Order: sequence, then C-alpha cells, then structure tokens
Amino acid sequence: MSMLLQAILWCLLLITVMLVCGASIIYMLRKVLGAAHLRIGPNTLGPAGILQLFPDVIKLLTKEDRHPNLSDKGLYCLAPIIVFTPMLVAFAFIPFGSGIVAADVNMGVMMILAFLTLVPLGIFAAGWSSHSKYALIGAVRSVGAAITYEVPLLLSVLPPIMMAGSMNLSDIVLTQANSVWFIVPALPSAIIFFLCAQMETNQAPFDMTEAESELVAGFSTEYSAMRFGFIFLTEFAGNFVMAALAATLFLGGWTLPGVDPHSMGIFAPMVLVIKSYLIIFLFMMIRGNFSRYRVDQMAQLGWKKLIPLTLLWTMVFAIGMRSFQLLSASGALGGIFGLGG
Amino acid sequence: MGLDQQTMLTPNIPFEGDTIAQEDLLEGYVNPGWLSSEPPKGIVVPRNTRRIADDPLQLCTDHYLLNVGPQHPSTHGALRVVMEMDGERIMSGEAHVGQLHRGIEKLAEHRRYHQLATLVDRADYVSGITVETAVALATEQLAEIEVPTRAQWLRCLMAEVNRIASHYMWMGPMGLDSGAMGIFLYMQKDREVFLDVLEEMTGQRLMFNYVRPGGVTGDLTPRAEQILRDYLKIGIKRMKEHWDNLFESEIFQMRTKGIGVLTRADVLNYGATGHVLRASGVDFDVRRDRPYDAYDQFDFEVMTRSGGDIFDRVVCRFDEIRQSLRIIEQCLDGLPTGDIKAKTPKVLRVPAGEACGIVESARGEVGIHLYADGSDKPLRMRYRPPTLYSLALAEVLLPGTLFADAIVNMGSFDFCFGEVDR
Repeated sequence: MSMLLQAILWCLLLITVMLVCGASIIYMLRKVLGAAHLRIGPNTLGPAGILQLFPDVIKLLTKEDRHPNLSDKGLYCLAPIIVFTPMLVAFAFIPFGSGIVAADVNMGVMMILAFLTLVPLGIFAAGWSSHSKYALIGAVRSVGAAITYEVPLLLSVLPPIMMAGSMNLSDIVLTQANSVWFIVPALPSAIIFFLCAQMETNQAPFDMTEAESELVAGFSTEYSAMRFGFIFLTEFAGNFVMAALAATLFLGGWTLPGVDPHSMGIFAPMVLVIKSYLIIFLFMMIRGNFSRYRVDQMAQLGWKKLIPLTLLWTMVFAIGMRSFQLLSASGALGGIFGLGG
Repeated sequence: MGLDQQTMLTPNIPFEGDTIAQEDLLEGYVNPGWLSSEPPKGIVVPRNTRRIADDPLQLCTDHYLLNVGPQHPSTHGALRVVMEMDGERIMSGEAHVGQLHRGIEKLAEHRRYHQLATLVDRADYVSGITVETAVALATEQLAEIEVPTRAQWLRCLMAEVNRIASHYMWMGPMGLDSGAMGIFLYMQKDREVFLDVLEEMTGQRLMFNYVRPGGVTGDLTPRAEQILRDYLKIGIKRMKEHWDNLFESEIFQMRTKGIGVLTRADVLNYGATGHVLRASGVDFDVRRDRPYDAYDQFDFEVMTRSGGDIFDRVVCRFDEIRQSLRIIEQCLDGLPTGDIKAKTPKVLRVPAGEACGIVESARGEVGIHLYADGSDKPLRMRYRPPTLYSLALAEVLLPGTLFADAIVNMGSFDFCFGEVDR
C-alpha cells in the first residue's frame, strides 16, 4: 500500500515539476528572446510580466476545442497525449539529488531515450490525423528528422556510460563527482549530444517540423485550445529533459566539484536545475539567431557527418579509455582519474 | 528590349485619342509565354520534367496540390500560389495575383495631377518616395515644369533614405523566411532611424505624399540632418554587424548559395529589373544610366554580382545600402540653396500628350506612364511594377525546387503586393 501511495505521490510531483518547468521555460524563452531581439517581452502583468503565464493558460483552457471536419477524430484527440506522456515519463528517470529520483533503474539512460523516441510518433499521429497538408508535411519531416538524430544521439551517450561502467544515471552522476565531469574527456560527444538534443526538441535551427515561415505551424497547425497546450508544453518540457540529461551525463548532474555529494541535501535539485537552465539558455540564443536547416541538409548532416564522426570518436574513445585503464592498473600513470567504475 | 517597351509591356485598353497601334508598342518584343491576349487566370508554370527525370534517386509518389496563401505567413502580402507537389518537391506552380487589387490605375483617372502621389504611395507602400518621384517626373514632362535644384537634391536624398528603409524592411523578413529571427529585429532598429527622418521631413512614416510636381513639400530640417549625420558615423559598423550576423552564418549560406539561380538570359527575357537584374550580372541602374533629378551629380557605384542565386541577390542589395549611404552623405554636404518647389497652379492643367517617368525604386525600375487629354486629370495612368515581372520568373524557378527553397526564393525577390496588384 505504501508503495502505491509513494508511486502516486511521485506521479503528482513529476506532473507538477513538468508544469513548472514548462511554464518557467516559456517565460524564460520570452524574456531571453526578447532581450536577444532588442524587444521587451512580457512586462505588464505582475513584476517583469511573470504573471503573463496565467492568462495564457486560461486562454488555452477556455478556447474552443475544435477538430477539422475530415480529420481522424480518434487519433486527432489521442495525438497530444501520445506526445505528452513519454515526456512526462522521461522525467521519472532524472536524478535530482542523492536518492531524489522517481525510478532509479539500472537502464536509466536507455529508458529516457527510448521514451523520447515515442515523441515523433505522437507528432506524426498529430500531423497525419489533422487532414491538413501543412501538418502532414511537418509530420513526415519529423519522422525523417527522427531517423537522422537517433543514431548519433545514442552513440554520443556511450562514452559517459563506458566511463561510469553503468547505465544508471545516479551512478553516472556519482562517478563524475568522484573523478571529473565527463565533458572534459568526452567533449566531442557532449557537442554531438547537444546538437542532437536540439534536433530532438525541434529547436531552431532544426525546427523544420514546425518551420513557421514554410509550414505555418507544422504538425500542430490544426490544433487549438488545450490540445495545442499539451503539444506546446511538451516542447518546452522536452527542452528541460534534454538539458537535464545533458547536465547529468556531461556536467556532473546535481553535484558540484569539490563538494561532498552526500552533503548537498536540498541544494542538489537546485544545482541540476541551474545547470539545465544554462544549457536551455544556450538553446534559446541559438534559436533566436540562426537560419533553419533544410530537411535534406539536416539528413545529410546526420547521416554523412554526425554518424561516421560519432562512430569513429566512440571507437577512438573506447580504445583510449581501455589503454588508459590498463596503464593506470599497471601503475604507469598512478591512477589519476580513477575512471571505469 | 527597350526600356520604354518594358514600361508599356502589358497591352493597354484602347481608349479615345489613342494613336499608337498595339503592334508598334510591342515591336521587337519576344513574348515570354505567359502573357497571352486573353487575360491570364494566373501565371501558369508548365511542368518541367527534365530536371526531375534526370534524378534517378527521386522517389516518385502521388502528386498533390498545395495551396500556399493568401494567408500564408511567407507570401509577403497577399499572393496565392497553387503548387503541384511530389513530396517536398514542387513539380509546377501557378501564382494567382490580384488579391490586393484596388484599381489604382483606374482611380488615377479621377484624380488631379497633384493627387496622384497619394495613390501610388498606396501601391508601393514600402518605398513611396521613389514612386512619387516617377509620377512627378511624368507630370513635369507633360506640364514642362522646371524643378529647382534644391528640390531635385532633396528628392534624391529622401529617395535614398526611403530606399535604405525599404531594403532593411526586406532583408530582415528575408532572413525570417530562412528561419533567422534575430536579424529581422536588428534591421528594424536601423530602419527606425530612417523612418524617423521620413517622419521628420514629411510628417508620415508610410504614406509620405512628399514629392509633388514641381518640387517637394518640405525642406531639410536640422533634426533630420542631425539624425542622418549621426547614422552615417555608425552606419558602416552597423552593416558589418548585420553582415556577420546573417551573411557569415554558414546555415544561411547553405540555404541560399547556388539556389534559385537565374541566368542573364532569364532575367533579360522576363523583364526583371533592380537587384534581380544586377545579381545576374547585368550592369544596369536607372539612376546611373538614365539619370533623373540630381543623380548625375553623385558619385556612386552600381553593385553587380555574377552568380544570380539567392545569396547574390541579397548581397547585391546589401551593397546598395552602402552606396545609398554615400549618396546621402554627398546630398547633405552639397545641398544647394534655393526654392524647394516651383510655382505651379493649384489645379494643374497639362497639354495633351504622354510622358513617362522612369525611376529606380527600391524594388527595381518603376515606370509611370501618363496620357493626358488636356484636362486636369490624366486620361490613363499605367504603372509598371517591377516585382510583377520578377514574379513571372517563378516559371523558371519553381519546377523542381524544394518547398523550403521556394519560400526563401520568394523572399529574395522582395515582392510588394500592393505594387504587383495595384
């Protein structure tokens, strides 16, 4: 019984975290893009326009929930949920602190990436069922994008896993706390992960799924009211998931260098959130300034450049790491970093 | 093809007093195909099978029709294009113009010569001064009005100010079409400077009504001069920033270089003018080759590029801004003293005849052809919109391109649909 209660509490907590993350990132996006564009952004409601979110939510809740006449109504209604749910589940595997993780599973990294793979499915369902050509083009583009970024994304998380000797995200964080942040030995992987995270979350310059100058609003063209709200929220929650994953894999997660991980206490979640938001800030600055890739150029980037590069780098890294370990074990290097779990 | 023929290219409605036969007007003119004797429904683009059949990797799927516009965000006004698509590739397209038709040419027949400026302002609402100048030039030719030198210089000054404002208004959204959001707002900030000057001098930010037959309505104010002199100090630096921000971006270059290539023959055959012409290697600018007002007294270069792709079109215009800044500087330094307007009667009656005012507007060569019957109103006004002729180039560009490229292509022509549809 207590396990069930615990599970329900975790669920409620995660939904709250997701909503707060989504809402705060939307506010942040408006302010950051505003500053980057020499605009003001929201500034009327509440201090610095922070209450602007509430009328937005009320608007989304009270708008008419319409669906196009010839749309596949069942799939049309289901699609936002297919988009929303995997993103919510992905939150469960992110360790926010020592023991503060909803599902501390051994396959944490793979579970997050597996659930995020479901998101393009929901996007495709949304575009397919909308009975709109713009939505359909957006949907097909998202599938094309998905098969582009998935492989380099999966390959780029291998070096941290190899170094930690575990797929458990908590272990990966603690290994970094005991040695160095994995961005130091595996910088190319971190960069490729960052690129793929942009593709995964449909951020500019890889936002061709919803390219507003071409496809009006892409796969979500026909959506209104809270169904659109779900898609909108998922996009920004996805930002947080990818940024938190990047922080966990490469930037030491909730730990800080030189601080005992077990004495972080309540500061652990704050450290992770700050790290994630810094990464999101980078996402936003890129989003605000760069042109958009064309869908075939992105496919070429993925298949011709990123995949060979990640394969090569992962191989080089694995050989380098193994020889480093063997040398350390033989005492030649004195075991400086203590990598390898 | 002669420029006058271009100006009168579309067959006019025969009217009383017309002594020129249609055949004479169109002598030596090669019909590019879309202009038939029947009123065209749209600019029909024949399916180009060559480029697609040559590509063995092309996946052949069912074709579908995609209706782009008139409410589409990237049609820059109100253009409707019906595209036949194969996946993301455009097989053929049909541009339906006329969504913004207000009958400006017909309305001109019910306006006095002084009032025409307000009409053409509403046609090309982004660079009104240049088009007003065309009307004024045509009227002055008819009425044989001598324009004071200071007024001529002021016209050039304001035309260049307006040209830069228009170029910034185009280049930013052009970046937006390719997905770059920031550059749009950075360029708006620069445009604001020039709009301030226009507001100071004419009282308006959009529909200026500044150039009149015989001169201009307002003299250069000290504040306007100060704003311009301040900007001239930082102008080149600001342009360097824009250059680094947009043109140096590798993604923008990837999206524009080698895409939408127009050959010299294409642009000449379709009567394209302005930056479309110059980006394809044709060295022609009305300001230099047929100088009007005071343009023969300024030292400036006509910027040409040879590639003819989107990147060249954008860069060609970017360089034009620099030249416009040079002209503005020379205007401010050497502005002669004197009247700003010749004495003209309140109601201008011109002798019967016809006259053509040709100017280089921000978008290309604008020609205003006025037919006068001796009364105080023109019998017929013909407005040659440069971008309508650029739009006909869709026939060359659309078949075989990707949808995303077509959007950027469309942006690179700087369509102003108030002008295309009139």
